Amino acid sequence: MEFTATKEAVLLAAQNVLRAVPVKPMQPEQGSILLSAEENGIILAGTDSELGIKCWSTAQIITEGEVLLPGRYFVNVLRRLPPGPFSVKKEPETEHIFIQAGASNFKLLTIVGKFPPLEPEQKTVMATVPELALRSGINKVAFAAARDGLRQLLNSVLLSVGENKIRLVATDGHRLAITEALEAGDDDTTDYLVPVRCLEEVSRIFSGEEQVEIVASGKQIVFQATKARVISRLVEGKYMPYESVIPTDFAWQAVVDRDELLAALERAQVFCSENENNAVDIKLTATGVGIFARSAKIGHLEDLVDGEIKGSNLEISFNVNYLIEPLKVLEAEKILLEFSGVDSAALLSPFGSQSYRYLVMPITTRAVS
Amino acid sequence: MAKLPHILHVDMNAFFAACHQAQDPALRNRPLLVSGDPGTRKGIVLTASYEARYMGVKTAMPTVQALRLCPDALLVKPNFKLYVSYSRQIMAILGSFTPLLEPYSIDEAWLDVSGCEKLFGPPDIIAHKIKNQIKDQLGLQCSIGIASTKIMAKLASDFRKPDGLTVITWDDIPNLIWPMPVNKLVGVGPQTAATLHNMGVTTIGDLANFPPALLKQRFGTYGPHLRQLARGQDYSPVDPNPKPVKSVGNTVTLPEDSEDDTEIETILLALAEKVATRLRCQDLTGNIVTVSVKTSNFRFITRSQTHQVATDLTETIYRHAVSIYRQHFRRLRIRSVGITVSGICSNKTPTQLNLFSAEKEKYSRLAQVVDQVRAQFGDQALVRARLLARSPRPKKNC
Repeated sequence: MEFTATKEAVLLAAQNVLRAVPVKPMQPEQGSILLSAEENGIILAGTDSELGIKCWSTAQIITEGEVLLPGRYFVNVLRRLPPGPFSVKKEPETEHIFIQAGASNFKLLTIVGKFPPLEPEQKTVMATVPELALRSGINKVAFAAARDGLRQLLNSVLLSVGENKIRLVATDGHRLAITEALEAGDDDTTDYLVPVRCLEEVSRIFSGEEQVEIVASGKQIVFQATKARVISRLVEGKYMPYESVIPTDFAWQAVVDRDELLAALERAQVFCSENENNAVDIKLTATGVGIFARSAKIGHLEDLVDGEIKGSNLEISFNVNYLIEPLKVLEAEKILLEFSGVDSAALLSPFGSQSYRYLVMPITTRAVS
Repeated sequence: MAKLPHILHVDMNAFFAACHQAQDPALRNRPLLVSGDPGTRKGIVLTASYEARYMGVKTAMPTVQALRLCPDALLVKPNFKLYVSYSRQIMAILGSFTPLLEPYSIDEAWLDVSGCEKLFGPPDIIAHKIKNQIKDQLGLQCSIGIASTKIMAKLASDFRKPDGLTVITWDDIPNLIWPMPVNKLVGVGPQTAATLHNMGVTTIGDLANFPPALLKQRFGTYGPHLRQLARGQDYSPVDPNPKPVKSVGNTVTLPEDSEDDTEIETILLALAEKVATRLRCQDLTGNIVTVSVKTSNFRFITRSQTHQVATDLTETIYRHAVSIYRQHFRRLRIRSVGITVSGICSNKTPTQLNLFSAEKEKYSRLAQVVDQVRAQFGDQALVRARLLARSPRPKKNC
């Protein structure tokens, strides 16, 4: 195997691939990156048992071939190469590669072992979506998923394809985000449970303006663009009956400016972070939304965000972070807040649009009935 | 140097037995055993009066063995309401001397009497007054230790029993305290004591003079802390605030050893019900469920599960307990089994609500109704069908 390439292009691909490689591999081959030189360029691939990432990069191929490299060392070497072109060479029957750039010559031992193929089980494309739309959809819900690594269902995002749209749903049990902004697909509705970690990589890697093909079969899902492929095991099981927990009657409504509300909540965050549950108190008044945060150790904040209010005299508490996170990812200018009671869910959505809904449970002492 | 505090440790003598003797003159001056029924396996001695102790009876001894040593002993069944009632009266007397009163158990307490001299005299006079008042009003005896730290005061009260009074000054520590066995020190349990013994540490003095680096290596930061305690360096103040509840648990000893899963799971349900009811009474919830069993060969095993959501519901605690039981304790011959809920937090502290808790809400409302019915009509007014066979019923006379 022998090729020349530029550091910048290969490093970007290698860093993407490394994100699927376990940090503490049990066996050397589990921590490896597959480097193959083919006719049209080089391919890098990395995987743990759940997630696989494959990236293509341009290179001038002199002889084809493939080799397993210690992932983290290979990326560290690439990072430290001088900018510009470098060459990689491996003689047959040897157990190392030579990397040469300018006056620097590296000799890196290879790993002996097998590498899984990371190929889709089937080829039928389920949906094709623009990278930008996919990324924006993922970013609007992924933060709401749990990340404890224990509750598989809550650590995944529901990807529901059908009726010319893709719906993404994520929840950690305390809040729930639903977006339906994507237009794609045409079949009957099919649900897939995708680990949130996979979608976060998809959002990070597919950052250009290409189209992403989504291929899903029984146990795996594949996101494919020209330069990269993300492949992941699907989570088995039945997702929470999320539709049934969305209240339909709201006695209180507030329409407020997104930026103003976000700024006020971020001010409150200074005090809330000292409290258990990060609680911020919200009061609806005739003229707007009052924001109150107090910490016994630091001090307190009172703020008012002007808005149009329906219903009055509501005092309710939330985890301030649970309100800040959706506001940060929404592009809307005006936000609609709807409340159904001090111990039931509140709904946050862009004013005048149903494409995004964010449901959040309040913080309360147990209601005495 | 700041003035050293005067701390008293009051320890009631043979408390359970003494309560019965105080209440019933016929039991006085006779060997008395407070114990479970000698016919059942719960038959161990909880407390023996001093008359029985002189015959060699010890706490936790099987009743049968105690009766062999002391055939004339009278047996009484424990009556915890009686002990609590006496304990309250004792604490009230102690509280009349100083507000700095820290109950340590049902029959022990620390008092900080610094600054009470003008009112009641020096610490030893206060101790005499306390002893007399408890004896006159309640007919009970106690031993009191006086020192400048809690830990030394506790060791001092252990010195002369019954009816003792011991003052330990800073200079007495090497002579009086250091020859005592190391397990007398608060904080040294059977496990720690065994480890210390292996290291050649048998007395408090050995611990006090042991190289702290080695203790740290073996016990972590707790090691040097223990060494400081052994040297009398304990700066924890007498804390009159009641300690928050850390766990709620119940245990039963089976009438016979059992490896019948169905029977044990029924017992787990009864235990879960008891623990959950106690939690709800105190407005507490917990997220750690522990199941402990004692096997027929007296092996003691505990296993716990930590859950995201705290609970006070019988159903949830039972489900977790059964899952632990099935995972760890199947096919064991079980002598006793218990459930403990810890990770306690109060229902009154703000809680983040959950989206998917419809079922839990249903059971919460059910539990509320059950609690109300039982409060009004008695514990047996509502019984789970599965527990019916176990609930006591009047036996028909043949």
